[in-house]
Amino acid sequence: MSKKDAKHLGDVVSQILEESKDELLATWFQELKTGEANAEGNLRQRELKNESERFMKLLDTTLNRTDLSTLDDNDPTWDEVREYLARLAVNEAGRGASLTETVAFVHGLKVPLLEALEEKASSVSELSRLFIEISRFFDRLELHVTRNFQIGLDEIIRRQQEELMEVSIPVIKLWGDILVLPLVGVLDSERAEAVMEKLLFQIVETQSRTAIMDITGIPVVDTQVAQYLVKTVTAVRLLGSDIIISGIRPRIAQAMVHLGLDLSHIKTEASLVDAFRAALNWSGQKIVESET
Amino acid sequence: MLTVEKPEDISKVRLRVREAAKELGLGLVDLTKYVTAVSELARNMLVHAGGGTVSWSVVTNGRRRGLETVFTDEGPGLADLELALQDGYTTGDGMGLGLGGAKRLVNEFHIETAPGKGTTICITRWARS
Amino acid sequence: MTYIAKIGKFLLATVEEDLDDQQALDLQDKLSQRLESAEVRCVVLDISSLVIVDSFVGRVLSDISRTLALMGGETIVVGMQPPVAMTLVELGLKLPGIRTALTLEHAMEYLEFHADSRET
Repeated sequence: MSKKDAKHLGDVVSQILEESKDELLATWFQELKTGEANAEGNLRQRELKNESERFMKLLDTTLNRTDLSTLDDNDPTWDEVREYLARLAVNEAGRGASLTETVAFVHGLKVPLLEALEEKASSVSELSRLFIEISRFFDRLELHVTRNFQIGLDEIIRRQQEELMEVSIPVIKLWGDILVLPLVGVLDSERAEAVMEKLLFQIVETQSRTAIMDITGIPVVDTQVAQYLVKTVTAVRLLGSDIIISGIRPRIAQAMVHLGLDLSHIKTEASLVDAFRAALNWSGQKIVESET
Repeated sequence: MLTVEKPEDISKVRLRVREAAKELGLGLVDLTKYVTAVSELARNMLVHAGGGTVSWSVVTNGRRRGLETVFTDEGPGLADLELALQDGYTTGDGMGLGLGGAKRLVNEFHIETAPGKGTTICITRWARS
Repeated sequence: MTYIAKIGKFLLATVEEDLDDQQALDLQDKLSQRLESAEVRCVVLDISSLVIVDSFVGRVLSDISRTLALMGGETIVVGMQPPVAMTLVELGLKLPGIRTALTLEHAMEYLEFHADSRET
């Protein structure tokens, strides 16, 4: 499409946006209500009304300064529109909307706009050119929305994983200066790193001489996991504390032996209770039955 | 950018890169690992190539920002790269560790070297946002 | 920079934020000298302010321990920071001959117990 034609089209669309603003908004809103945009509830409907007005105004102002074809050229004149849609997409992702709902919002304007254009076209060939350009324009807008929706989702997932990591490493001060860390679930490299970090910092903060790492809740102990355990033991000892690994079930013990792992220099106990008793023993204490 | 010619320079490089890492907002553990790697590589450069230059800058990969440090020397170059990257491998008097250790402490590790052509090593640590 | 103070029967050496190569070697000399002059038998090295322990510093800490041991002394390194421990482990850097303790108190307890048993 020539620059001149593009400008002309832009002007036509701008004109429609201004002249038929209310009709367009009404038809668009109708599309949203009946379509995929999930316009249930008064609050949601008011939101959609507000957003559609804002978006249309943005489109209009931008088209007064440039034309439709420059959207993909990273033309900064379209920045406002791009940012608006990006923010919308991220917000929608944040509140749990689906991608379909979010894209449907933008998509809902396409048909009303095309219908309004139909009346303005002076010839069939002009009309088909208009349709192609408008379609292309909306495709790009929707792609932009999709892309940013995904970015919003990724950010949410990342944040959730962080929070999960934080919560899932409970270091408990048991008695005197004995810390217990019950590990549950799969121990991958990221988690192992987080566990080591938290345990070491806790040991320093509580000045605990002994740490007990219980692995009863870890389903699989392969070479990788064993390496993490060895690393953690080494690090704790470097700080000046000692550590016992408890919860080594017969299956796990067999697997470790089978793997040829030499863990003879690491203190281990079968159960948490035994580990506790051993730790107390080192500090010159023991558990005694009361007289009563 | 700093020149490493004598042992005192290693400490200077550490301090400057540490500052840059703090400014970037690297967490304590990440920072410690990264600056230690920097120290090891600077030392390697001094021991094996007689010295070289170290420069650092903030970089981005589009999603995250990171700190990149580049070590350049005109030393003898490494004949056997694979060997040098192995754990615990050192040549000579046992000063410094093999490159493998430093590699584990950073997110990105690139090396260009050839016998007689000197060595350039580039390491990066990404900041967690 | 390192500050060395005599506290009762032992020396407390407090290492500051960064230790360059020469300072590390000087520390080793100073400590051996003071042990030689039979002032004390035990040394506590406080590295709680030391942010980076690379292979050289690690080696020197090891050497200090072993040198003093040969001279009949005892060395305890206290206050290692968690990031340092994690880095050393990742590097695979062994620190042979080094005894560590979490805090000065822990170190003193150990030394008292140990010194007593050595004297008998």
